Amino acid sequence: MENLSRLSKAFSHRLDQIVAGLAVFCLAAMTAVTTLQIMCRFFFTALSWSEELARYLMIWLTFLGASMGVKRGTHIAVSFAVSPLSPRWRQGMALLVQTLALYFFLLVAFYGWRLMNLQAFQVSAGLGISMRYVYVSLPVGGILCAIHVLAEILQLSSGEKPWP
Amino acid sequence: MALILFGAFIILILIGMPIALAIGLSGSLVLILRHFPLMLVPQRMFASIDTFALVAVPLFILAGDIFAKGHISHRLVDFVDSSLGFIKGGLSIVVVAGAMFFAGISGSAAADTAAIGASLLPEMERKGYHVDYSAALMATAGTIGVVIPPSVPMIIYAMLADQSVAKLFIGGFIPGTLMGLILIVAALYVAHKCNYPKGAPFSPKRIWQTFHSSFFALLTPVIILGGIFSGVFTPSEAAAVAVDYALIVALLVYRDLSWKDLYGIFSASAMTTALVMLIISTSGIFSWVLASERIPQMVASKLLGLTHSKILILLITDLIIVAAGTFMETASALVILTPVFLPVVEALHVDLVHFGLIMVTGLAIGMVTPPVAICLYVASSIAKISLERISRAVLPMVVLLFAVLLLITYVPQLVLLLPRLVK
Repeated sequence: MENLSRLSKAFSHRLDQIVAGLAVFCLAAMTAVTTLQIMCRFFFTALSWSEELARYLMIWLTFLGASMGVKRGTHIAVSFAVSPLSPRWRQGMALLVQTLALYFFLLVAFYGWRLMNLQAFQVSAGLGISMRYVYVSLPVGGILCAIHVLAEILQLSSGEKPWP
Repeated sequence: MALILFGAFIILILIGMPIALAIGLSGSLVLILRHFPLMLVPQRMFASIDTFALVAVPLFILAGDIFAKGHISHRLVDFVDSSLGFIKGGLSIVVVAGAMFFAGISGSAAADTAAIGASLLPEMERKGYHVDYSAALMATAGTIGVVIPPSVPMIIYAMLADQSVAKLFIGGFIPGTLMGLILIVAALYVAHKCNYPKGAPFSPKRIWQTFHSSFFALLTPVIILGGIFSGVFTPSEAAAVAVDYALIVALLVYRDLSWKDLYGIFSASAMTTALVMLIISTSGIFSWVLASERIPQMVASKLLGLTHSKILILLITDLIIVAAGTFMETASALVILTPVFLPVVEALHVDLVHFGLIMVTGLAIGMVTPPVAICLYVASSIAKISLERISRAVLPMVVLLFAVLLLITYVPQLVLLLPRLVK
């Protein structure tokens, strides 16, 4: 159990570093594409694909960044109702929250995958790419979040990380 | 079903579920109970963020972060201090005026509070200002950050209510200025009562010096807002220009950021952005359920059945918005309240730009009303005082902001004058 917990922690950590790099790329590319769009409109002719590309980068950024938030526990939650409870109750609530979160992310991953397969034959209007590459951000984001939640549950229950 | 939806949502939040997931899970629960296909979950999550207008959210957050890290706020504060510091209680006025200036650069109230607080709080303590009062004033002034454009909550509202971001932005000027003015008047009163000191004497030479050193910072709102209102670029494009400009100023002109700092800023902004965007994303499920259960129409007919007085219904609306802001974070309160209230305000012929400003100003008040009060958290952590102490000090200021909210609620011209001029 402890080995599993340590392994999952290391894995979730390494994964997060890669994801952070990709998210930074998305944000930088969004800025660059939107800037390019303005310059082209001023000096040449308007681009047909830039708004679409910025939008798709933002969608990727959302689901990648969401997993960074799960990993760091920064998704906004309130604690005023839970904090007066006894440690035992708090532990139970935390476990319930993590389990439900895991369920939601797996739901998004599973149905997101099916949605992607449905949309795979659509081609985007501006860029002309398969919509598969945009919709795949849903299952990818869902799985990434689920991995971090799972690692968190393992660390909490093996005692490696203190309960909130 | 309405009871199940809101009940599940509230219970999930109370047990400590992250708000984005509480919104998504409670919506999904109704989908399951109604035997709707669960494919709707990812589909709505995708569709609700698939808009170019939202591109402005990450980019304005990023630009604000670059400006805050690159000491631009210090330069702004120095300039405001040189022009207003000589008045009695000068520093407290600089807090408010500085926050109003920074509001023209940043789209978030927390960033505004942090930027002004970090540069002014130590100085105020040294000059003998009561720390509870200083921190509370900072937090309250910071809320102006979302009312004076650019504003992230306005971008979200514009998308939800299908309104023009530019009109909302320009509509925010007068309400934001009113909030600033009323706080300045209050600060003057407190300064006389507590005998707070004057700052450095008035000196045109120092004004010129600080103006010179903060020139590029002062130019920022002109470029961003001027570009939007003249129609040169869309709000999303203006946000990209804001990032470019912030990078140029911080890296090349003032050189107070290194290329190495950038990765950290980008990665922090990417995550902050995603926290807000995930709330918007999962709210797609929630609002789909709201619509399919016809809950907004139900609420509208209940409210309109209660009374036909527009004054009374708007008062109730204001109170609900402030209450929601007290217990909820801004983006989530927006995505839940906006679809619910739209049929009501439309039935009362309230202009939707006007209502947007009521919503954003009301939720701005929620940022200084505990338990969920982002600006109080930021200010109390900078001032190193307890949430309890700052909450007590902030109460009279909350009353003042509420007065401004009522004023703009019942005098729509205050909001709509400028947008109508531009059109």
